[in-house]
Amino acid sequence: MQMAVRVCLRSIGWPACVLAGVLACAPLAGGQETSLLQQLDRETQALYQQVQRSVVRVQLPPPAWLDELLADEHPARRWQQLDPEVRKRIETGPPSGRLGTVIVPATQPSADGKQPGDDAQDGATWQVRPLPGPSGVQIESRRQKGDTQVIVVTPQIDGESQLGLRVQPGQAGFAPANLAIVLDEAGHLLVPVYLQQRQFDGPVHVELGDGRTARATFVGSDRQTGLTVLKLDQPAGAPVRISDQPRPAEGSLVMILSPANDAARLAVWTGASREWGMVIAADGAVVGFARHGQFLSASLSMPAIRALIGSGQVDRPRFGMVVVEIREGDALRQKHALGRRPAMHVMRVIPGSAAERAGLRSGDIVLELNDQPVGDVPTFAAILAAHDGPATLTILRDGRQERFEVRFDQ
Amino acid sequence: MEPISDQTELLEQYLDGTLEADEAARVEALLREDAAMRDTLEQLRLERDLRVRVFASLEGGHREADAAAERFVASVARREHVRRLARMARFVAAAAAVVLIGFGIGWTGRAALDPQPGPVTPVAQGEAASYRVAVAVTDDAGNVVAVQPFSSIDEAERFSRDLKAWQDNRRQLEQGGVLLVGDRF
Repeated sequence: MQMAVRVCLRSIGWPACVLAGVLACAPLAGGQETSLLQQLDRETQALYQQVQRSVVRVQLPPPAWLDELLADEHPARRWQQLDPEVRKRIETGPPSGRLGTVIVPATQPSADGKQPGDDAQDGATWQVRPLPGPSGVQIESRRQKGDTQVIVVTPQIDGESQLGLRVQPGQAGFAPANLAIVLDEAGHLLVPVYLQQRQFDGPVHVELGDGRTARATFVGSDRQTGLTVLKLDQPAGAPVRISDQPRPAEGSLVMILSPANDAARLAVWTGASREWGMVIAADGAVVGFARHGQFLSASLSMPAIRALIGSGQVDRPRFGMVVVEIREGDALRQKHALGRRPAMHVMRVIPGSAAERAGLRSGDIVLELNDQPVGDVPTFAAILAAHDGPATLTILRDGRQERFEVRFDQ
Repeated sequence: MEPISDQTELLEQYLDGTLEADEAARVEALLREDAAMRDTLEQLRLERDLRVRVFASLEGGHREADAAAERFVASVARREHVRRLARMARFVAAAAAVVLIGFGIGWTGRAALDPQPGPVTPVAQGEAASYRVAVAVTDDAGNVVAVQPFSSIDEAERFSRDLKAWQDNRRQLEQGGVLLVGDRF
């Protein structure tokens, strides 16, 4: 080696010798860059394959609460004097697709002189507003039924809807389009959507991670966390690992599995996601479920999940108050200088309830429940499912934070 | 019994009101005695009714009406096919002809009757037809599955809008992610 350097220096001089050395090393530097990409590719594949063993695709029935939410607006209810055949058709609907209408001359008189439209009432108002976001435009529609409020979010991404719950019109054939995770060796599956038992008229079809198909039956579901537990007829798949962390650290790398088009992607977690999907940490553990801005922590949900496996339902103590999520863009965020902090608004306190006895008032802002930040109904419900003893609420009132201990009726 | 092609022409003229009084009386007498002929008359009325609806829909340029027109043309083609079969059958024994006619009427009526399960009451011959507005409800293939009469076009339009809005909302619920944002605890 020394001989080679001496020969080099004598023949071409030291500046040219240094340049030759740099050029000789350049391919090595380039080769290392390629190696890093390949390493990332291998790591991603390994993570995906690890997760796939614990993920199944499931074909779910259409959720009954869709009809419940729209019951007041159903034309069969708004138009009392319909012909029985028309009523039957619009109540059952077509097996797939939708009913159309054509206005034509009629050859028969109506059954009586009453105008069908006399029974029509003004329907609920839908608030539809486009929300800018990194993933494109989302259409939000807010609906209220009693104390329950829901928002229907339909994001449009390059012309494709990204779905929370995939409904197959007509349910013809086997078309598993929703995701579930294997919870345990007994074959329990967790679907991060709410479905009621009466919707299941038998087992549902499941496609396992290895491509095999199986059947699963309903075990239990919880409306407030939006979770449903099924059980495989024969245990299969690898139980998923639930992350100890309640949510991903901001800036960390996560994999998001979405039921829409079987999409999976790596993302940098920024505190929330407008997508709908399972959020997987880089170590392969499930951290939670992103739902169009809401995030339900998997670890916080475990008490509710265990209750569903054990008894098919989740029992919670009752505060006696109505709380509503303060979403991004809500005027209350600016009014109370909340920034991006998770918060909920106490809309109503029931007289004589545990909440009233504890001193809670309508208009209070809930920041924490049992020292856990709460910004949405599923998280509130998940924390409450783990309740043992009095609950502690951190409230923002008149610009000051106060803690209230709520003792529930036994 | 008249051969089916002659019988159909006779009934068409009867519906058109172009028969002489004695001929019309003869047809009515035949109708009273012949159930198959009554079915044929009913079928002709239904087809006429559908034709009126299709033409009315085409005036509005509805896509559904285009589909209905295609179905109507198809039903006519099927009907012609059956008529040819029936002409061949006229040379067969009268009893066999009755069976074939019954089959032909049933086959012919299938396409047009299926889309019209609603209580469409034919207008009585000689009675002034009180035409009003109706909404023909169609399935996803464009078949008319039910008919709802209304007193005015405004009512019919309101009903159509209601049905469309409800279906749009339901579709949005099916395709969107439903978030529970407020509840009682």
